[in-house]
Amino acid sequence: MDINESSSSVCDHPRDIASVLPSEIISQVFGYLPAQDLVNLFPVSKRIYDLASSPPLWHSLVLDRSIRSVFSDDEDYISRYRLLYSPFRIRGLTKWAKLSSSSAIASSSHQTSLIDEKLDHVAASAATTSSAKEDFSIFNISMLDESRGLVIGTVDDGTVRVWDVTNNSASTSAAQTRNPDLVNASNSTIEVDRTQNRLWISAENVLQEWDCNTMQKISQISFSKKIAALSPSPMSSAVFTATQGGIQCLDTRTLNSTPLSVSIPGYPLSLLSSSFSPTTISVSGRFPSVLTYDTRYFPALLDSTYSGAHSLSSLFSLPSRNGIIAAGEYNGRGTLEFLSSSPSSKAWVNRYSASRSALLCLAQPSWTNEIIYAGSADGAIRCFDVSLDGSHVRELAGPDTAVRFDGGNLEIVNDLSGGNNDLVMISQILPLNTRDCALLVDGKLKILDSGRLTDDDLIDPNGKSKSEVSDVEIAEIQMDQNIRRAVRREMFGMLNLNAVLVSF
Amino acid sequence: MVKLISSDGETFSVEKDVAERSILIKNMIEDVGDSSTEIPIPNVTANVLKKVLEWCEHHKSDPAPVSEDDNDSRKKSTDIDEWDQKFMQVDQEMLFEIILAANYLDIKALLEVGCKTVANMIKGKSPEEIRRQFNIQMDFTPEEEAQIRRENEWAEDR
Repeated sequence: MDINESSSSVCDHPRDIASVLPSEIISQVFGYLPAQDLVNLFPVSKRIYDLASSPPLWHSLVLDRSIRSVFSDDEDYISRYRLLYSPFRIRGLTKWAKLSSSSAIASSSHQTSLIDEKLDHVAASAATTSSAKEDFSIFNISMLDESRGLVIGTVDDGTVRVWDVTNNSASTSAAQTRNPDLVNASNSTIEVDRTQNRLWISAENVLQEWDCNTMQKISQISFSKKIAALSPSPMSSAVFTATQGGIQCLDTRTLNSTPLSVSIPGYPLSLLSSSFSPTTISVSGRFPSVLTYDTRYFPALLDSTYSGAHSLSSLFSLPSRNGIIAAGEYNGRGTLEFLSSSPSSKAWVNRYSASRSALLCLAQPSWTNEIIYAGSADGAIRCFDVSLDGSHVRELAGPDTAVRFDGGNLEIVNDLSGGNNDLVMISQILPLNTRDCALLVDGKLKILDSGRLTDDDLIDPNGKSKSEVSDVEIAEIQMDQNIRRAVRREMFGMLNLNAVLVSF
Repeated sequence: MVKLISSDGETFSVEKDVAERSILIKNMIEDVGDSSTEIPIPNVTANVLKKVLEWCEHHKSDPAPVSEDDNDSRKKSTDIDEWDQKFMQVDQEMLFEIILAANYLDIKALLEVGCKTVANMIKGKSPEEIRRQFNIQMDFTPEEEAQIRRENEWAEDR
């Protein structure tokens, strides 16, 4: 051990601890200190700073399950602390903006029978008594105009509505059109087909074709079974629908002719026309594989990837990695998987730290191709690093970040079978621009204000930039550049650790 | 009895199980195979060795330390038993020497007590107080210091 010079000479003036004790002993001393005291040590001297900010020390602090006692149960500190460990350029969730005046989380209790339906991207509706005018549930939303921030959605009061989500003060929808088929529907989906300027709306077992400009229905076709998902083909004049046990391909020019169809081994939940391979259509659902078909020679099966998950409710194409991200449920927990379609990218599965309950939807903020957001059945929005192995980076909102609505705690339960509890499901996430996402939370539209473009943007000393919005702060996060730098020095090799860290 | 010779030439005769609190000495005795030989401790002076042996004497019947396979960071507590607290009431120079000796002689439990004592001296103190306590030269420029403080404000507002 390294004590040769120190023990022999006794100086007349007291010696500097940092020069007497070797680094490993000082580190051991610091290992007994809580985070607050470590931070206090930073300005003491350069050597002390280096030792006190050393990543292993902070890792062991985080790994310590008594983190809550370290921060005396202060949720804010925990969220800050997590952020500290984020090697990514993301600012945490700052605000929920209320779009609709009465869109505070409905306190209605959803029926058990509805829970399954909700997993199929259906907003709970029937159980909610319509007392106020705005008391409606949104089935499904889609981006109508990204640059203008227009979101379109199907609503259970029998309307198709458009919301201007860039203008948070707009408390009601900007436009609405009647659509009686939606009134008694148990589910509905909506997709915008920009190439053909069409809206495709499903209501129960009816498929409707709408003109985007006039907002008028052009035609419709009925199926024998409920439509679970639909996807217009980006390449051809075709629209794909998925119903119980099958996928249908319709020619949009002759909508009423008999569709081409193929049977699939279960109930579908998601259809994806992948953006890197537009001649394919993939389907996933309550069956353990993702099936991919060639749209030119439909129903020719191109590929079948076995995942083993019990249900995959969302597919998302990842052009940068030449593959598909799938999210869903495995053994009651969330699963996030990368299905590679090229030999150069390796497939991965995150079933350990992805989520405590099923993941329902996926989205990628526009400023990154390394991060993906996933919404879960327990009200969490989590972000994952998809550039490497799908490790969990941070929870943007949800049970662990103490989301508060209107001064009250958001009640969140993980038990999907507990029918008497309120379930808060994030069923859709639509990235709007560099910062915001529109969310469908239990049939209500919400805004997630998140994600910054640059590292420097991470620090927002004033925190409250959009002050006029009557929203609720979740956590005012002020990142500390130096700690972050110190931690990050050695963090980049430790992405897997991140996955472990936030799983408790 | 085992004979230990400090770096400044003083000889200490101690019982074998007292001396064997030190893993270093224990291994040496095993290597030599004869506990009657004198063992030189070249890195520890007589006054420090005396103190260390006093600790070993008091703790000679402690159970053998449990294997440290799990991470020691889990044992965050800085609680020190009463006798050890009294034992550690020495000047800072001696405290450091004891820690260094414990480290050299490989006496894990004593090293822990020493480190916890230092940790307790840091707890709850301001950077200025810590500098004074340990006679640490401030080597940041005022700008650098201001920046570090500013960046760490988040942790100070509780």
